[in-house]
Amino acid sequence: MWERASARSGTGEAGPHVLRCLAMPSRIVAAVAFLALVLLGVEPTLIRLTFVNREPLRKTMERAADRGWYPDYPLFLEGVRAHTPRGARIAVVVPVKSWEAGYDYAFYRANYYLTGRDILPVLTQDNRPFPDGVLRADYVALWGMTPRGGREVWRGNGGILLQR
Amino acid sequence: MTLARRIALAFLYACGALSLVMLLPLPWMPIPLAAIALLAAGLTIYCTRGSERVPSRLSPIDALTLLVIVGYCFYATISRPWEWDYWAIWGLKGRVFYDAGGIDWHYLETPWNQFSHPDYPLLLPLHYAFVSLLQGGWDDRWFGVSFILFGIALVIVIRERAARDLSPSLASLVTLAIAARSVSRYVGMAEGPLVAYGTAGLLFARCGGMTNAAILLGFAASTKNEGLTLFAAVVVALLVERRARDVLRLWPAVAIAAPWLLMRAVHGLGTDLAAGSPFERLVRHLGETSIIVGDLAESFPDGWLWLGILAGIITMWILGRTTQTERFLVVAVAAQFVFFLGAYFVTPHDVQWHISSSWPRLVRQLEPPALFAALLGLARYIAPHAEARPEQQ
Repeated sequence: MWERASARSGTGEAGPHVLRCLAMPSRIVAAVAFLALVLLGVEPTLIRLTFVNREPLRKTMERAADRGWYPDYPLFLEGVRAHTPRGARIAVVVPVKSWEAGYDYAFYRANYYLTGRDILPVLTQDNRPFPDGVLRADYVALWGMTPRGGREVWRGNGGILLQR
Repeated sequence: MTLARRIALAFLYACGALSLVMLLPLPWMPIPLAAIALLAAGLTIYCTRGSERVPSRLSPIDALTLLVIVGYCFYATISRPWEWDYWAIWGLKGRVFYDAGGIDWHYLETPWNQFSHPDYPLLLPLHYAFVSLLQGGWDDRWFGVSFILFGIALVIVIRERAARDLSPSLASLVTLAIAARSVSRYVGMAEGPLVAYGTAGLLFARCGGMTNAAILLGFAASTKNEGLTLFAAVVVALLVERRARDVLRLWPAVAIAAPWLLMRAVHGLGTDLAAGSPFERLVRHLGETSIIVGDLAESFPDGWLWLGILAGIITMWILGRTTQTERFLVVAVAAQFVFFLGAYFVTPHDVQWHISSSWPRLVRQLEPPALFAALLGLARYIAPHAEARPEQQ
């Protein structure tokens, strides 16, 4: 109560000396809490980053988006982009047969690299085959698999682009 | 207002104004768009001239904040943006729109593309498209630079907001503590601009700078759906603080956010949380409250920091130094937390997956304003002559 009274009176200069003495410990508590919070807020990793060799981190981050599919799959998709026209319908076929085990990555990643084209999946989100994806496609982008049928347009980086 | 803060606001306003212009069904051309951005920046700098000057003497502690920013520059540009949500949502839509030379409604309306969340606001994808127009092609290698600029703009606003109420040394310490939380670790995702617009908006609203607050909150709502709930949280906090007149002064935020909300309604781009029967899901999930709370606790990030923030807020409350300005921030942050929690109770997705994939990001959005409130409250007790100065419009 006294501390509050002292604090509310501004610097406490107008109050009696005893009030100022009692206000001191709570001011110390506030100062300690303030400094502790400053220390908790500071992110030393960011400061360290200026002074360390960043090459290992760069290598890790470079492959972070594609992990085990790096570097071939993104390079394959760039090749597919270079060999297909805008507006083309492209089905994406990869060895993974489960949506959450990797087909989602392959399909979404193809969307990113192949903007301007319609990307069609060959698998539904509940892991059922979706043959319409291939049937409706102008092209089939086949990666990590052996092709059956279709006219080969381009091959590279572990994949083949077929025209239906 | 110092030149640094006027430039910071000019950057934020220029990016926001561009996104509004790019929503219009007009052809995108780099030179006219760049001219609009420059005009918006110039107008901001001009219109904020002569407003209150705050002494902005630097302190040696600011050098440490600079080190944090330099470190972030290296982090944000270490490679192309790597986050899943960058290339499956924000960057993807930016690239689709850049390729189409405008908003590709066909893409957004195609059922196969639901994963890209077609209902999300478009400020960031449009920003990417604009940068690519200036570059003359899509190359995301240096998109991290935009995140550095958003972060620096916010740090400048924080530094000056703190300097209004505190001595240069204390203001520098406050800025140092918040700097690393103001720059987004999720490079490529909308958290960066959202935190910049949202936190800056909160800090202006805190002291009655309602025009700037409204514009910034409007752009926050144009960045992410959490920006929309942040606007609602600010309204709640203003009403709790009996500042009903200030609620009305937020109309520019509504005007800024409205075009996209109307467009997405016209094109039937519904948000997943509202799909189906949210009430039914709410009732079902209420029965799983203990599991949900357990998942939230497990995924809660930066526990020690939040414990410190909570302790700081409780300390200043016990010491009797809570002021209306800090209370406003605390209520707004608390209301936003309630909105976040509400989303998990109505989610149509697997709750555990939804929490683990988004909760840490959401909590981190609130670290800058929560830290600011706790630190300012404590600093006021250390240096009791400090009082929050109202904004001069």
